[in-house]
Amino acid sequence: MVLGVGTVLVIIGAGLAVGLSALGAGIGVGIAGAAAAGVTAVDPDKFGMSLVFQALPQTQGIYGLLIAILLLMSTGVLGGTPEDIPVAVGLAALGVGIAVGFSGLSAIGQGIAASNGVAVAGRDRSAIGKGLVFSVLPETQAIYGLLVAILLMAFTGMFTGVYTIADAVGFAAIGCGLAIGLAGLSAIGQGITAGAGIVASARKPEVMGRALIFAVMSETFAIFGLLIAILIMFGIGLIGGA
Amino acid sequence: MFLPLEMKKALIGIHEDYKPAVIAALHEAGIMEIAGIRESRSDIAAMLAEEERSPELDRCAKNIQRLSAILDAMREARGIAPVSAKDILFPAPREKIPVQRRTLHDICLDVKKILPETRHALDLQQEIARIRERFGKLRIYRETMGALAPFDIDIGYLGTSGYLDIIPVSVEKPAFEEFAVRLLGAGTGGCTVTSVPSDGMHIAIISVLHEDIDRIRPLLRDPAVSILEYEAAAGTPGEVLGRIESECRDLAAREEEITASLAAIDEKYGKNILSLLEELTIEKERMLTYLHLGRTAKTVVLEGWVAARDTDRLEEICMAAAGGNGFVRFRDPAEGEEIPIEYNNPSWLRPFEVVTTMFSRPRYDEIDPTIFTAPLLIIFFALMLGDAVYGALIVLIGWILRNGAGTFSPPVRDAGTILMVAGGATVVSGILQGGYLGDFLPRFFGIAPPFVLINALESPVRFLQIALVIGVLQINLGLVIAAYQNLRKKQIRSFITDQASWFMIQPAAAIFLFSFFSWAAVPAPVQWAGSALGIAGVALVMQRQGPLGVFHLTGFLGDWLSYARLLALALATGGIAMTVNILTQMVAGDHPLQIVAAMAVFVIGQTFNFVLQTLGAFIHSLRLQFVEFFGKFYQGGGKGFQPFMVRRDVTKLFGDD
Repeated sequence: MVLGVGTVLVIIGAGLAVGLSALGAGIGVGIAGAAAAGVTAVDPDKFGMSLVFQALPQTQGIYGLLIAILLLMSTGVLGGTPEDIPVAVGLAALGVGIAVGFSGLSAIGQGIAASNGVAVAGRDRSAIGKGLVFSVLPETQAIYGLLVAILLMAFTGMFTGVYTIADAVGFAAIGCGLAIGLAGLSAIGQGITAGAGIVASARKPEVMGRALIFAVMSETFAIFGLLIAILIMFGIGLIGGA
Repeated sequence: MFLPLEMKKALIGIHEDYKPAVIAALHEAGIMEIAGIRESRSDIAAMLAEEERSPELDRCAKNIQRLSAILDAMREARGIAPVSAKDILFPAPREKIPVQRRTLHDICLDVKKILPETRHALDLQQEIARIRERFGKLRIYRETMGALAPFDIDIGYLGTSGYLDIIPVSVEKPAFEEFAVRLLGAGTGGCTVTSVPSDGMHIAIISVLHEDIDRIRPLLRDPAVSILEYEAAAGTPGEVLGRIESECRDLAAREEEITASLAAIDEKYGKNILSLLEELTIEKERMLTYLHLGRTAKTVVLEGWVAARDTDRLEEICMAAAGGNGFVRFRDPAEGEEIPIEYNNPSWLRPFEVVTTMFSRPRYDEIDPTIFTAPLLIIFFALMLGDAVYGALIVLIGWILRNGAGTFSPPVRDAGTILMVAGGATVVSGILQGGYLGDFLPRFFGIAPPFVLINALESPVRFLQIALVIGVLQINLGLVIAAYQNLRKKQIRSFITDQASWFMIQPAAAIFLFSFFSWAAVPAPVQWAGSALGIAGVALVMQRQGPLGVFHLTGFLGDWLSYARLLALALATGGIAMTVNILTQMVAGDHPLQIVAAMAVFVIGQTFNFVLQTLGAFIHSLRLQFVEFFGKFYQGGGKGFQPFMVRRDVTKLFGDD
């Protein structure tokens, strides 16, 4: 089997997607798990509830795995025969991996929020729902990363196997990935605010709405990244008619 | 349905002789939330004296305490019975104990009769506690004797004698040599150490003169060293061990005997005690309610909240219980009063009220969002999960909850209903997305699923477009509701700056996007009109919010793009299920072991995906309601209506079914 440069770049993209997001998910799950272990030590009946909170930051790892599988399938490395992939598409795949991988580090923020969620819900069962809603906030950045990745894959022909993009477009796709991937790290700040929101709304349930407003503020910077990623796609002709 | 139930403030005055009867009737009816009249804003509050605390209340509390202690003793003897999965899913109906309506005096007479016959349970409970404490000690002594068995010395020599202290210790093996050296070099006149290795430890017996004991004490406090606990006894460790075993057998037999005695008391009096406890608790609640009342010389006055639809019934109940010797007045809530909130939804919508409550109950003058949230929550859940087999499994789980534990527990029944509806919608969504355990049908059987409209994995961009259209619709629904609320309250300024501004910005943004991305040819006049509309809308937002208006603009964009999670979750469900199927294919082969391994990969993988994605779909669907939708029109913060109501878990009144 001979692997061309394009195919190798796609494989590196898949590695970045799953590797970075698994790193984020692992740290996030670890942070939430530490709190979960403490709560379960005090009350073993809280094991199931604690496990639910600990599972939340796993999703980023799943997004990374999903994109890695889709990238590998698009090259035929998985479930087919490896094809010769143009270098431009390989570069775009690198952008895809960066988008999902870095935004997958948002799981760290989610882990911080989930650890507060499990601690509060451990004392007050009625706080489980609110804790879950706050804990899920920092996942939005990962969803934006996944969104950009899917758009890049769709518009560079990775789903259809029809490749028409130029090398320069592939490089620009890396810019898209960096824009949304690094902006996705804003989720760490959001996780800190969301964690405080969980505590605040447990103490005073009627402030939940206002605490949510504080918590979604950090998302603004992820939107900046998303906006720039979409504008780059437009600028290089992947979206629209430029 | 759109607003919480209309409430009235009720003022009730009765002759003092009828106080117990009226309070009991209100308690049984459970339609009024009683408020403390002396702290209220009522006009007559200042004229009323405080109702005195009844001495009967202490008598009642004392009897509750005594019966609870006896019940605890009997329960302790019973222990925790093993519970099967069937018991959890389909619990047997609990038969309620029929009781007569009677006075506190009669209940206390029954308590007086039952106490002498059951008080013995407390002595038995204490004896069991002593036995268990002794068991604990014997377990430690048994370990010590086991460790000392190789020494074959008389245990009677251990401890302090005329000149010597003889101390048995265990030392961690790696630390033993250093310990022994330090011990012998501690400057004692005479110290001997005899030791044997045992299971990662060294068991040692240290003999030291009295005057030297303080020299070796710091060494015995080393974390690697433990002084073995023992009880003064004569004979070799083997002989003492035999006596310990014999005492353990005697104690176990006695514990069994006591447990049987407690079980016999439980069998004979358990139900009676439970029903007396519940009757006493009900009486106590009534007497505590007296403290919220006010009084004049002969009249007792109470105040509280009642649903407007129950006013006639409340008046009828009060006047019947007071024999016509009283009055009932109703008034509308005054401004600034904290009005309790009771939902006003049809029965089919009630299971979904828990979703709104999870965020916060509506305020009295605020639209209850349950009617909007319920269908959207289900649709989003179904779109995100999008697998017919997963949906069918959720229907099955919901059915089990509804028809099992839900038969006795309304919250479980509601959860079962929500799951059945959500599961049903997921089945439909799964069929339309062609998801049957991911791509199981085409991958393993080459069958193309019928009725497929859209598959997130095959047409992600189309799916995204649908998600964003849904987002626009829901966000605008929220804005329309907010606009309606502002117009209803004549808050025109808020309407213009908070809602009309967005109704101007959105079409302008649409014109801009179509023109910028060249999706359609937009005539110049339309572009100019759009720009003017957009600038005016942004100006209104900035005028209202100041510099923070920038965050409102990006926040609105974020709210809209947040609906991309519908695609993300749908992709994750289908994609991970597909990955599991691929792995299954890779593991599978001709050898039977490979088939077993492939089946294990398939079952574990699909179960993992089902659990995780179901949880994810539910939480993300909730988030879209709470953050993106509620953020546009809903504040909440209402206090739940808590009627003064009898709760009978183990008893039922004669004639009540």
